[in-house]
Amino acid sequence: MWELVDGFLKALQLLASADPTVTEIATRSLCISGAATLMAASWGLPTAILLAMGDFRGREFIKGVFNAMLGVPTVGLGLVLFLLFSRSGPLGFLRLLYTPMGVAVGQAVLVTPIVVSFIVSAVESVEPEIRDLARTLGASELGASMAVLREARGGVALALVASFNRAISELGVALMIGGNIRGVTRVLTTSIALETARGEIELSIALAIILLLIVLAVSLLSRLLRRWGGWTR
Amino acid sequence: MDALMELRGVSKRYGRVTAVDCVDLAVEEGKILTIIGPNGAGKTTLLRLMALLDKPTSGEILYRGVRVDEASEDVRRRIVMVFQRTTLFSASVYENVAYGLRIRGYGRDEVDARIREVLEVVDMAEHADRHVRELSGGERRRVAIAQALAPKPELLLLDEPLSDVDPPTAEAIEEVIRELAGDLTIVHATHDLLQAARLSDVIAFMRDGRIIQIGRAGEVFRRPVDAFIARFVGFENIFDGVVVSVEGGIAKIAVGDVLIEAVTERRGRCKVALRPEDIVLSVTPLESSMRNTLRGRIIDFVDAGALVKVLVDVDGVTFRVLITKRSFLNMKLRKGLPIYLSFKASSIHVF
Repeated sequence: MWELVDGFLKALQLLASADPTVTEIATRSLCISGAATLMAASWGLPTAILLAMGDFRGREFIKGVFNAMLGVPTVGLGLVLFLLFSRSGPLGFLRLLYTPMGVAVGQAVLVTPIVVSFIVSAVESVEPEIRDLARTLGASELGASMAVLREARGGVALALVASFNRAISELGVALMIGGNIRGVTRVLTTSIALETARGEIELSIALAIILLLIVLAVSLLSRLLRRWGGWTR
Repeated sequence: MDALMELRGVSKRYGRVTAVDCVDLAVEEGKILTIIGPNGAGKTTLLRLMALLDKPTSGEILYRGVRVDEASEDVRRRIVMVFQRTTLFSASVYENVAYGLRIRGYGRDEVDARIREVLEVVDMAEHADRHVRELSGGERRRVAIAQALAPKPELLLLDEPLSDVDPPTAEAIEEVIRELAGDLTIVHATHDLLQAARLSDVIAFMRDGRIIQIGRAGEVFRRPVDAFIARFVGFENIFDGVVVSVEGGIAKIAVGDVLIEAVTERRGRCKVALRPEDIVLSVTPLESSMRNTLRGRIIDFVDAGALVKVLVDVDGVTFRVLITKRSFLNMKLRKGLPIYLSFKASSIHVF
């Protein structure tokens, strides 16, 4: 019990003094998972738009696949990506293994189903009349699609927030692709696991507090944005 | 004739359902055309085709004499439709009204000025900055109309514009429509007869996807072409009859055992229609110029506030008569009472 309280107090000291190790790890985590979210959005958003607004065979099937992949275990995905990215693997030439970029790509793959599924359902829940309204007011097909997407912006923001939070909180991919190399691929989750194993409880607690604060702050910010921007329908 | 839009043999089928069935229709520039008909008649589908939102299954649409379809973006931008179920973008009133203007590349100041102008028209000028989520149903409808008017369409299509709004809003919107008439061409779909009568230059009667009668407003009301329209426009007494003799332009028509005199060119089998308010009831035979006086017996009455509908049996034929509550009370009418019906030959519509 005292160990916990003691650890907590020391953690607060580390935070208050802006300990360089803590700051470095936190910043790296933010950058890697931020990049992962942007990547996932860059291919997930067009995919979602196609799936939600397009009319082609196999649409429902693909949506089902993305839905099923929402809960994919991070360690399992980490293993698959490890095999792909390893020297002898089919994507070994990319030299992504044990690099921050490799972790970001891995996390992007991990959160793509979240981006796609959330945005598809947000777009599909927009009143179908919105498209007609945009068209009768003079919008082209593309413009009407943009109007529908704009109506779904709350859902799009939620998808990105959920993706970022999942990326920054996951351990499996970061550990297996990144390898927890100090100063290179060490991020919040991998450090927490390592430091706890090494008995450095106070550092673990400090990092865990930062992780929680980041996740809470992002969620809170999105709620505020939603209220200010009139995103709720 | 200078038709702004012309439909030639336009049909729209959804699977096995034919929503619009081979419609020919010309919309005259600067006029209000009302499409009236019961729910499910195909009014909305027809408006959507005219808005170039949907592609007709067959037939063609001409705009100022040129064939157009939903890919004719330039023409589509001169036509705006207001939907029956008010739909607005989830944004402020200002942003909603600005949408059509921005698409057309209006400058900032022009957008500003035009928005102020149209919001003034619908009496929503003070609400420009409010989010549409905070508006009442009537206010949303006003915004939808302002939004449609902003880009100055040549053809405005209104689908049941006065349905589901409170009476003051309906009145205000009706006023707006009347003021707009002349500057732009309006096609307006409704199932409300009085509304149609007040607003239209031309009325097209629609049923089962077809236009079954089209004409000046008064004409459709006075001279419906079939029993369905006759009933819709208030001829509650519609009987099958046979013209038995003609004398000096006046025809004697047998309806069952009752003989009715009417002014008509028709011969042989026909239908006879008579509005309930065109019949006069009296306890003794009336001394008047009305050619028809029939003797019957009251079988029932329905009290509708200021007016009472009296059902009178005349030799097996039931007439519906509308009288004021006051005369109903003055005449001390009751079931079973013998009564006289009088009506003019000219108030009978034969078809």
